[in-house]
Amino acid sequence: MYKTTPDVIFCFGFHTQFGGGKTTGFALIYDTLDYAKKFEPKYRLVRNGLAERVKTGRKQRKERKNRMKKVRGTAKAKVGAASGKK
Amino acid sequence: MMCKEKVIAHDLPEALAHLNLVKDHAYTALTTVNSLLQRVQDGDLPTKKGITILEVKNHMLLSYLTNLTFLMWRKLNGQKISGETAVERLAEYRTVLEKIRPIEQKLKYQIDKLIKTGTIEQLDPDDPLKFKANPDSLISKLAEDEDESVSDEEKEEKSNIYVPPKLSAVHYEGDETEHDRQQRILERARKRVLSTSIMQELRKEYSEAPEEIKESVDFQKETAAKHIKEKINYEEEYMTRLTVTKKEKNARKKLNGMYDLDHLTTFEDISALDAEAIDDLPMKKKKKLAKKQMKMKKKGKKKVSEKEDKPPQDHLCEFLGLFKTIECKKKLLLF
Repeated sequence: MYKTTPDVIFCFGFHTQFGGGKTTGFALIYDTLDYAKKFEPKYRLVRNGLAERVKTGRKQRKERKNRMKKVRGTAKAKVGAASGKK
Repeated sequence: MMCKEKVIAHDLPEALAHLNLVKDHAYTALTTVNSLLQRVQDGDLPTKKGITILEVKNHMLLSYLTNLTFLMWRKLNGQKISGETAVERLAEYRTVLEKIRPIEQKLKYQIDKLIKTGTIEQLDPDDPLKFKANPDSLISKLAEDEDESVSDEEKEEKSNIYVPPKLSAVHYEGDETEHDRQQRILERARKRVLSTSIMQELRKEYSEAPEEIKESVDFQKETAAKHIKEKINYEEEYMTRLTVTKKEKNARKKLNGMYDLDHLTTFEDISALDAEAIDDLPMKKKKKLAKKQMKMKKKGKKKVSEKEDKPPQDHLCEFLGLFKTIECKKKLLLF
């Protein structure tokens, strides 16, 4: 119907009707991939393979953030990375 | 000259009559003044202890009269009165008298009372015309008379009863009598019964109106369906999925899934139509249990099962009621 490549189509929010046989959901079709990368939320990009998921765990990220809070200025980046590797 | 004489001739008899009158009046005035003067000189009219403002008024009036008579005498003698000091004095006295008038008005009550006490010796303390407060007629809080001790004790007893302070506003039910309240509750119960499925089937059976086939007659279902439709519309418009609460989940299950057996086999209670008093109305099981539990809690006994408490009469009534409902439902079940 829209004559586009499947890589600009993003579908989400599927609900299966009671008893099965029918599922309803939403789909977004973008003009270009750049627009898609700009407007789509991270998780949908990851689902379509256009972005990589962050490997660090949630706990580690939070701990890093808290460590960075203790330091001021450019030292933040050093501290965060260095302590993380420990 | 002729007209002047005519005028004089016309007025002459009148003038003469007036002059004679003046003469008589003057004579009487003279006699009264002489008598008054005699009395004052004898000391019959002492004004030492009287109201001073009235004395001032008297003196003012006297001075006024003397000055006026002086001016009249001067006029009668054919002399001018313009520029006389008497005129100024007259004006002064006149103004003073005018000023005294409102003050006298204020003192009117006092003067009248004084006159009254002068004429009537006895003083009634409860005289309604007396504006002074009478503290003796007040009911004293610290009554120590023995005669009143009994009544006081009774009063104290009454006031000893504890009356709780009214702190929160409560719904006003004063105009509604107990009877009215009961009637209202009965009416509501009857209304509820009339809208059950049994009554609706009966109505359909006996009414001559054409039969309407609707999807559902259940109002709850209709409202739930409406709510769900609204939700779906919102979701489709904004391309988002809304969260489903547990309540909604259960409601949806109820709508879409199969009902449990109780819904098909148990019939609604229509005994409320025959109820005459509130006690006859069937209370919900939950409420009954709660009431009993509360009672047991208060007494500290163990929980007694409800079946034992029901008197045999109630069972019979229930059975009869069930019979009625079965008769109605028979036709439906056959269908």
